[in-house]
Amino acid sequence: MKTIKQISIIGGFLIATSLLSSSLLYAGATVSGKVAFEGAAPTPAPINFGAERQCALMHKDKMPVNEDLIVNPNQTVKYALVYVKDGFTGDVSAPAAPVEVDQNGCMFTPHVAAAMAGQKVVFKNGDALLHNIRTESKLNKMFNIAQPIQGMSTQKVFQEPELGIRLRCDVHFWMSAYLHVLKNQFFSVTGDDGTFTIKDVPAGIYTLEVWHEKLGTQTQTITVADGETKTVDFTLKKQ
Amino acid sequence: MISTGRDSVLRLWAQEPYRFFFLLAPVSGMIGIGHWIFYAMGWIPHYSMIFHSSIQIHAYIGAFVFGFLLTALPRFSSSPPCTRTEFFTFVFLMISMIAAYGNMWFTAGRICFALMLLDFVFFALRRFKQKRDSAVVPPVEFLWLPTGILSALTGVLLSLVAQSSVSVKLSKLLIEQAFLLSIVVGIGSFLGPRLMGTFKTAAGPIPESPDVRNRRRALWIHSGYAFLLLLSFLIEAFGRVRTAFFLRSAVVIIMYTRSGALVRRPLANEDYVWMLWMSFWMVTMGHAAIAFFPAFRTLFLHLVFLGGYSAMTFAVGTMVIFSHGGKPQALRKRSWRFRGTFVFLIAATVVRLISVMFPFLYFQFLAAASVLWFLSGLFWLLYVAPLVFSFPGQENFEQCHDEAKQRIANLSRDRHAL
Repeated sequence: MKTIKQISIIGGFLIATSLLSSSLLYAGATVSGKVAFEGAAPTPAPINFGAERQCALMHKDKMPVNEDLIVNPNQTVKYALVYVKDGFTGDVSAPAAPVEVDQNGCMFTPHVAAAMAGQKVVFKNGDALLHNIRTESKLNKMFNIAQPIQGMSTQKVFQEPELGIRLRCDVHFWMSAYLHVLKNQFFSVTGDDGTFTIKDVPAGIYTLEVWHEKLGTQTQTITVADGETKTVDFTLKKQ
Repeated sequence: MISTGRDSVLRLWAQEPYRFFFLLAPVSGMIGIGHWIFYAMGWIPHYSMIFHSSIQIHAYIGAFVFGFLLTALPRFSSSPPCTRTEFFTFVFLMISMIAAYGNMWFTAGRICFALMLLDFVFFALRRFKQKRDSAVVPPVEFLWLPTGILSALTGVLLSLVAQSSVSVKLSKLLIEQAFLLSIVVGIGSFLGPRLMGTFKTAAGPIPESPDVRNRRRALWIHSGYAFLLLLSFLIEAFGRVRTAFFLRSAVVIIMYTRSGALVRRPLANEDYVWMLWMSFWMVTMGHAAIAFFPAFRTLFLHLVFLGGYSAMTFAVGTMVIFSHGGKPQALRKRSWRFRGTFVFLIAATVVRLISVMFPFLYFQFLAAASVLWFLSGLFWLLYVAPLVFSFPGQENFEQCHDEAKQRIANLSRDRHAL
């Protein structure tokens, strides 16, 4: 009886130690890089607010521009989605933290958002004006929500992975944005420096894709090992 | 001979501009709400709130206001009626304004609106110069008319030059709200209690000849309230919505209570009188509700516009059309067409108000409210259209007018006798 007890204590200790050490030792790969733009950088057109002068005045001196193609000063592309398209077969669960899409100053913020399938997406109206969110999607159920009161928010969950779901506000014709719904958590959207970082990618061979609303898509196959930091760059040009 | 006949008909229409403008008004209103229906049906991809508010305020309510004033002012000032040139100038400007808004040329539309206001100022000045009876003085409440016109003209001018957020907001408030509210408060508090039989002065029922001292005092009081009302728009432009609406609703409540438009139950029992009474309550409640719930400003403004202004225009329009059409006695009869107008209008207001509770069905609710308002306007047109085309003789008309005045005076006198 005493022997069985000692064996079970030692066994339990060994199992716990091995689990702990494996979790400490395991670290997926980090894939990072930048999305460059080839060619002369276009000058984005300022938003035409039409007769909605109160929208224009919300921005004071910094008038917003059309965000469908923003080339950063370092000749990189803003708002490009980089994601693991194929190769990942593990189980995933959607993060608990929601993704937020705000309507502020009669603009969608951010212009490109990304969430995992099953993750909550919160749409907020930060303006004291009526805004609506109408989705143009193929795989997820389309909806049209109105948020007439400032501070109103609506939570939605997109169950099906789908790229490039167009979000529109029909009250303000210039307001549009994109929401990407991904099947795994390995994605990143480029910012003001055009770089992306995808962390904790398990060792393996993957297809990495970049998606941009105006510049299209491009793929690369990458092989990563645990703990490795891999640099992958893309170069996009006008089609 | 045919030409003479046509000239005669045109003169009749010009002399009583309400005949054209009261028909144009609900049709404009239907255009102004149509886009909600089209959008909900998926026939148009976008909609413009500026188009909606511009058409509803300047074309729909504006047509009622101009139709009423162009007809009533010559009578109140004992001066000649509208001439054909004057009438067609207003018609041209009104149609041009609607066409401009329809094409989303909002600046052009506002300029047409400003020209219409200026044209009306000259029309009014000419009428006061041509007064046949120098003893006739306009009611003190008519002070609110230049207040409203001045607000709108300032608003249009400001909208052309405004560069700051405050001035843009102020111009919008003056164009869209101050103009109408001034007229609704001023003319409404004069006309409403007289139609409802609730008119009361400190001295008793309708006075035969108001003395000069009282008149001067009343003018000062009205000027003070008009100043406070305009001040409330300036406060709102600076972002103090709650303060602005407390002040504005206080002015509305005081004006309507003093004149007998609000608290006293109507003595006249016609349906249009009840609709008018309701409209005073809706205007008051809408403004007061915003003071308490400023986040719901747009929503409760629809209580003011739908339940208030829209009901007021239908009610006053009905009275004018039936009186001038030589059938004031028909107003006492119950009509399913007028009741349809009333019921659909209330339903439209309720549906518009509850739409905010259903963000996923919001546009369907707006479309439903629009359809209900459309039906309300249609029923009203069916009710009044035959009378718009009825031209009683001058003698008959004067008799009807005197009878109506006498009846209201009697109601007021009876009330004081109680």
